[in-house]
Amino acid sequence: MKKNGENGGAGTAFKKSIISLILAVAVLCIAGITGCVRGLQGSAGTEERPMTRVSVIFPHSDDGYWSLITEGIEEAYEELGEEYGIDIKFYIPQLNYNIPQMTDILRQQVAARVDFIIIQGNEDEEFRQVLYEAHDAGIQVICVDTPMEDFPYDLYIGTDNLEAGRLLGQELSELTDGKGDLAVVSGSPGYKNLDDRLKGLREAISAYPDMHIKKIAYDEYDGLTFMQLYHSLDESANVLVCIEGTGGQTLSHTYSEKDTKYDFVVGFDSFEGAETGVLDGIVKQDTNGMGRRAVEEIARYVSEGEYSSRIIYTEAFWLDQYNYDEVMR
Amino acid sequence: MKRPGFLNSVVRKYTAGYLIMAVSVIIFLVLNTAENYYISGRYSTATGELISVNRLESSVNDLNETVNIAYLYLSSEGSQEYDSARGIVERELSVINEQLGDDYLRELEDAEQTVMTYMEACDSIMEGISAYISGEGRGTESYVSLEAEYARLQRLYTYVGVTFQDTYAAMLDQFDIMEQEIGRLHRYTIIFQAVFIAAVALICAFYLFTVIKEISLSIRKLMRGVDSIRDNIYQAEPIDISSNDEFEELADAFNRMMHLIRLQMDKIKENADVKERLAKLEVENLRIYSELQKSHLNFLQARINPHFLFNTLNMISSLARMEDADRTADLMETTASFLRYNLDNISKTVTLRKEMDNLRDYVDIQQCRYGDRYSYSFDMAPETEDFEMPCMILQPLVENSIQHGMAMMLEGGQVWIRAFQTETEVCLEVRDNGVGMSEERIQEIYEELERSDASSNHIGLRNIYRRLKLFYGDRVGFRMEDMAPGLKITILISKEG
Repeated sequence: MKKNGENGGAGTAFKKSIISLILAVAVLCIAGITGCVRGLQGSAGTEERPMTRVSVIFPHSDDGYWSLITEGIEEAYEELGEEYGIDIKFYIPQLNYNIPQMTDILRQQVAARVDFIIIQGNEDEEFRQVLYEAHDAGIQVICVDTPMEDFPYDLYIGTDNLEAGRLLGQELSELTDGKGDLAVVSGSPGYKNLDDRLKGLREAISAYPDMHIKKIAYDEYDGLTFMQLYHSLDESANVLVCIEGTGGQTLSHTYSEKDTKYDFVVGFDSFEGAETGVLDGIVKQDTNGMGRRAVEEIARYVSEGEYSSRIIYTEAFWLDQYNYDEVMR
Repeated sequence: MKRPGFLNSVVRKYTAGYLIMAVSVIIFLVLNTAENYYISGRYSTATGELISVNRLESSVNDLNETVNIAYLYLSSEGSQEYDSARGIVERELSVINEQLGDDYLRELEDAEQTVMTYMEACDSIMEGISAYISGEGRGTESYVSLEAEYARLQRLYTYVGVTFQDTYAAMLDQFDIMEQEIGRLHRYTIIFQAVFIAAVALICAFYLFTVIKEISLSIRKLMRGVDSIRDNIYQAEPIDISSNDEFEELADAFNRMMHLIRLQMDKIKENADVKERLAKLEVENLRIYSELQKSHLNFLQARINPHFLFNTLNMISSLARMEDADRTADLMETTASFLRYNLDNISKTVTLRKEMDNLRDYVDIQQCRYGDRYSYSFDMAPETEDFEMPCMILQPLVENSIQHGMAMMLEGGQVWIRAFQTETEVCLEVRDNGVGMSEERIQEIYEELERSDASSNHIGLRNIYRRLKLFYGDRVGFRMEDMAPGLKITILISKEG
């Protein structure tokens, strides 16, 4: 009896059908399960305990400085968060640099007994008091960008502001050939980073007898306030120094090219102003590096129980219209 | 022959198709049930967690209420209610932790920790209130301290509320994500089910189509087989069905039946041939019998004369003896003996010895007639002497040699008569050295011997041949050979049969 041929088929067909069915079911099941699993993945759902809870309380959510630090944190968190069991949550006050709001947020985090608090240091007494409570409760306090005077913070990551002030002074003296009357606009009194920058600036220009600081004013991290100061500062000043980022940012947004009110305008962290020439030059801090390094150090602390150092300085560069591409690259 | 296996019947083949469908439906239903079970489980878990958080928040609210009452009214009963409310909060906390297991939600963790901080603050202030109620700390400082702690407590209570709001928001976000996941799962499941059903439908369709096609093909083959048998059973091909089911069995049975019919038909045909041959033989027998009857009648009619001749010859022989004509008397006696042999044995069998004796009588008579013109040689093997045979077989052959073969010879004519036997045959041989006979002529004589409508030629030969055939049937052979010179006629009679 022949087995093949036109009339041999139901057995073969049945075998083929069964094999096809099994294959189809297998393929579909794999596809289905893969699809379902993929469908169930990618959510920000619950994770496994225990997690190291990190609360980041930043004063500002601008698009030029704190946002870059935030980006750095997020990038590093993406890389290390899951591996080291780190959970990071950002808190920003409704108003920029609103100390009472930041203090309240800080209290909430202390009450919630988080493991790490990342803040920009400031010298407000109540803020410091809550930070002390946090420190006493065993919460690791990390200062980014700005350290705190006489406070036992666990880690500082940011620019060496004294050196940054010196860099600004040296570059400015080169721009002005060592001659100029300076008007300085800072953020608020009581910020150690700004004080250090000013100190560094003073040291740098002290070598030039024809350079003098005529006026120091505070814009309270507010653009409108800055613009009022811009037009009402000492008439004799021909050089404007924005020792804090808000001034330079505001000018960058206000003008599309260099204004004639001052012969020279320099500042901090206003990339757009440096690129367009509204500012003659700025000191650019490694903001992304600050955020990234903060997470790296937390990961290190989680795994090894210590930081690489209590104070970690990140780099600072001089940036102007001429070296913009090179430095930004 | 059907091979063993599940699919060796039409019913089973159909059953297999329905089984595939049934299994597919079961898989489909199981998948649906599993999906529903999974989705309802997810919803149940999510809702349960949300309810637990809400119950925790309610219990914290109740706890705060008891602290408020205790603080506002400095009531000792408030302290008891506080313990109870605190126990409820702790229980709700443990319920949530139990529900969550190893799962982690930042906002809920913050809320739980804030609740614990709040509870510690509650404990602290309740201790202060207890001290105040008991009279241990009723100084202004204690009151101020209590007031500050209460303010801190209410701030913490606010934070608890905030963290719960964050938790609800996060859980609702999760709920939203879960719904998206379930939506995705549902979509994948629907796609899977659709593809699955399509695949199963295709497979079943293919399978059932194959089964139906196979059955249809088998039926067509059977029909073709039946038609071909109807047309010509000998040219009909066997039906070839290898479907491993009843059709294959039917085809096998059909093929066997066809084979049997062919055998039966062959036998019938063979019988018909035999009958035809028998009928012919019967006709021939009747004809021969008729001829015999006729010759017998002729013989009877002529019998008076031979007897008269025979008596006369005896009387002449006696007279010749009396007159001392011995040679004549001998010739008369020989002729009388020859005639007696003919008269006595015409319808009987004789031994070869008698046949030879008679032939010698004939030769003696011929020698009287022809003198030394012809000579004769007899050679008979002793073991053949008793061989039974019809009479007057050899004499006509010798007479043929004298009258036809050697008629023109005036001297030196020679006739050899031999009788011998081999292992299988008895051979009677008559040979002369006369003119012989061409091969063509011999063939003509052979053909004439076989024909029933014989002409007047070679009556003697044909008579011998027919008598031999009647007596021996197929056992006898008749052979003529041209010996150049002369002719040899050999009669071969098989011993068997």
